Amino acid sequence: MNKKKIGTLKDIEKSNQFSRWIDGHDILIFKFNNSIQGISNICPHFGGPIGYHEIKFKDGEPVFTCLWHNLQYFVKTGECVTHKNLCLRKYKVEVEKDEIFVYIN
Amino acid sequence: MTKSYLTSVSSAQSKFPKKLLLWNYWDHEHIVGTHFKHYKKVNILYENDKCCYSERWSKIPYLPFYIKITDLLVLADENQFEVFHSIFFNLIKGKQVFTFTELEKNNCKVTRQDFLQIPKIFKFLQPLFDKIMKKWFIKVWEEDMPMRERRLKVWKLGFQDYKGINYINNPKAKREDNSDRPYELKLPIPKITQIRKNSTEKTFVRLFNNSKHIGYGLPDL
Repeated sequence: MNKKKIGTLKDIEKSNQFSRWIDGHDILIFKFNNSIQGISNICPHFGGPIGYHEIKFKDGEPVFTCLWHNLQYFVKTGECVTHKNLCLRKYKVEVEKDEIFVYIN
Repeated sequence: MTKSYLTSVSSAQSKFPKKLLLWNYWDHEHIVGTHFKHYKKVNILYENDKCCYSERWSKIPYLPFYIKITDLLVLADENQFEVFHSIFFNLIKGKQVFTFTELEKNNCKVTRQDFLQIPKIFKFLQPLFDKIMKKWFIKVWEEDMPMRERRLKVWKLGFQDYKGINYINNPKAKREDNSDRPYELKLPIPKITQIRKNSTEKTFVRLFNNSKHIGYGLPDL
């Protein structure tokens, strides 16, 4: 795994999340429960962005919603709400000073 | 009463392969996602590899409410499809013809011809109709553009529908070069409504009315 800079804390300030392509990975960096996390921004259905909309709640659980076809994914696990065989990869994230790094292959 | 037609022609050139553009137009469910400002529901009544019969709840420019439009899409050949519209219990009938012209490798021009059947006395509405349809075409085209760009990008990274990208799913997997992978299309496109319900229910409804939009992402570092 390679450690790569994906952005800064300033990038996340505005909306509590941002996404960016880095070395063939589209990664959604988001702040939730005071921790900064990373998850794949590529919906395995048709490839749409799951970070276009802000986090919403389904039955009390936070979810991301793909812009293209409204498929929803649990923030905590990356698992699709309706299609259990679809799952988003979670990325290891580190914050150093004001810079955000991710580990990618 | 003598019938006549209002007509309009719109066209635009794209840097995408024809099959990707066709995928975009024949992915009927994306209208309540990508075009959520204009559609709130789509009900696919029947579809095969040549046609699709559906109901769409649409907001047309300048009208402040949704109207139900019954659509029949027919793929005439690989370069053209026609859409027959029916509104208000067949009181209003329209037709659109989409023509795809491949200019060079992976570049394609789309031309849309619009026809709206009207009593001849309403022929004076022609300039307004032309203005509305051209505005509609540009609006939808601009909303679809990031979707097409992204679809082509993930395709060239090896994306497979309902699976994703192998090296992302499996960090130990070796990356393959898919940059010259020709775009493939097989109609009808599998629907998530069919899979979710595992039944004949095919209505696809927009999940929410309001949302804060973050956009398609920040530029590369």
